[in-house]
Amino acid sequence: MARLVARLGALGMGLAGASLLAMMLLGAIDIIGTKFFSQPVPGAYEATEALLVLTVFLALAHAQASHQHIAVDLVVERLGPGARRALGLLAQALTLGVFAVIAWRGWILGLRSLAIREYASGIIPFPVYPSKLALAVGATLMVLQTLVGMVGTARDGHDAGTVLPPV
Amino acid sequence: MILGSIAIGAMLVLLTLGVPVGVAMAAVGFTGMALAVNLQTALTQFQTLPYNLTAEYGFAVMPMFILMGSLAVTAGIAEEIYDVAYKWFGRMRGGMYLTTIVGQAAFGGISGSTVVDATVFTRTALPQMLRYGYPKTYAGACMVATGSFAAMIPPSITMVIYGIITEVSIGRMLIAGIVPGILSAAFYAVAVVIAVRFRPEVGPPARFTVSWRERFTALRGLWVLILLFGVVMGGLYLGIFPPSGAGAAGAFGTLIVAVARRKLGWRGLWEATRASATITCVIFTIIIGGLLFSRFLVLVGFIDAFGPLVLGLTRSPLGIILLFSLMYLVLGCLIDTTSMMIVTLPFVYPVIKQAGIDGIWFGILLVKLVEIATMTPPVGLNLFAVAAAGKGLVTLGDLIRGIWPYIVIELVILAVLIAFPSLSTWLPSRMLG
Repeated sequence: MARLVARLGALGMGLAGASLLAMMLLGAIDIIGTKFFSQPVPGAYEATEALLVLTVFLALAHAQASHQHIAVDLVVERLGPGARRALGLLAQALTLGVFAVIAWRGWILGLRSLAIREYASGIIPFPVYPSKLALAVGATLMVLQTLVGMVGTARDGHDAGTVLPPV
Repeated sequence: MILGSIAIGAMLVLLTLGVPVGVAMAAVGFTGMALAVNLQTALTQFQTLPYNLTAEYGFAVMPMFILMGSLAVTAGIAEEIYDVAYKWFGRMRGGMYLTTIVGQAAFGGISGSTVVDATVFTRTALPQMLRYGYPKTYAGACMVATGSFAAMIPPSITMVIYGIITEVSIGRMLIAGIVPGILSAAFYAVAVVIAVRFRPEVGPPARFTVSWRERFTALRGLWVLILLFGVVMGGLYLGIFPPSGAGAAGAFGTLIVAVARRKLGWRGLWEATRASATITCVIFTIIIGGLLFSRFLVLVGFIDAFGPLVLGLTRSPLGIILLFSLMYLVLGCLIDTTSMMIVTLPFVYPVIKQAGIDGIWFGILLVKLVEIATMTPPVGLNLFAVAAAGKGLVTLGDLIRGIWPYIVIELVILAVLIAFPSLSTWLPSRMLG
């Protein structure tokens, strides 16, 4: 189970990374096209929005697995192992709760969008439902990854841990 | 008001207990909305906000800037800039400080992350400084402090976060950072020149020979980078493209430079991409939590009540600025800068607006306070970053002992930026488009 979730998380990260690169290429080509050839890429605007959703939500589970989510650990790091384990479980339980709601509502949003084949009206119609479904998938993976983490914490007591925040 | 205060208190308790920042804000926001309004409202917010926030063209600028910085580091651009600065300034008194200051300011024009910049220069410049007999306290602290330039000199991730939360124009914020950013570096340089006059032993000139010819030759590699910065910021300034487009062009340009110089293979590209996607995801998670929390504060009327409360203390814009500056100086010692901004801005920024304070000006002051927060102990991210990247050359203790002169310089710059708002607002007011 843990291994499967880790695989899916890594796959999600792969797609998130690919989305990021696609966003860059699309943005650059669109700019060159617009400024030099008066020929913008049709749907570039909408595609960029969809790709940003993919980047953020599909990277979630892997970021969680590698303990990248930012927390303030000024107090926690001074506690004993028992207290740390308890707080680690609390942190993960809340994470689970928040992303469970986001995933649940995300599926409602995504499936509704799929049912009506929702398109954004732009220069060309661009499908919205894939990115909405990707949000639901990403949040669901995050829920699974957090569950795996909680089992690990409960069993071995290794805490959720934190890494340097990025900026 | 009472409910809002309890919620803020509850959130701070959760943060102290080590709950991830975004989760703490989202959880309290959800509970608060469900109790104060109704469950349906809370669920609706959770359904719409995460998607609407990320499916936003204007916010793609953040991952683009992050990717641009990652690629620039992988491509060894920081080392190249450092080398040029070294040849030009290294042999002066205090030359290695000047080298680092100039190098960081220039690299800040490509990278938007203070932690990344502090880390890269620690690997490159610090060993050399120690070899030339610089004290490890001030030399190490120099990496900590100059790394913060990345937040003010565009591109800047800090400014993008500010823009997302306050809805102040991200493009204008970025342009507004140019003058204060260069000014900060200039203040540092002047301070170094003065300091080594009185205490020459803290900044001996580097001993190496370099001809003028070599100096000018070294400059040759830089034109690409100047072009890159020029295209991104020039395009933004002239209104030729929006920030997200500028970011994409910048990241793509950096990629081309890196590949052309054979510094980037598939592996390096993937590493940079994965790291950037992760950071993007982490920051957006916190912003989503912050905005959910902010919705709650608005819905229960906390925002409407908090403003008059602060304005009751002081009505003068200067008083309000000083009050919040003090708050951020204290907070900056205790939590990381991303969380600090996202946790506080939802209730601070409405007050700024009610007091009629310019959003760009306040933004620049906040970025300066964020820069200071990266270097103030006990929780200064750049302190940790340099201690980690220094690999035993400096300890956290050394850095904390050496950081105070830089904090003094920063406070002086902050005072200047407060005294002369036009330093922050003039350039963006000239923007086209």
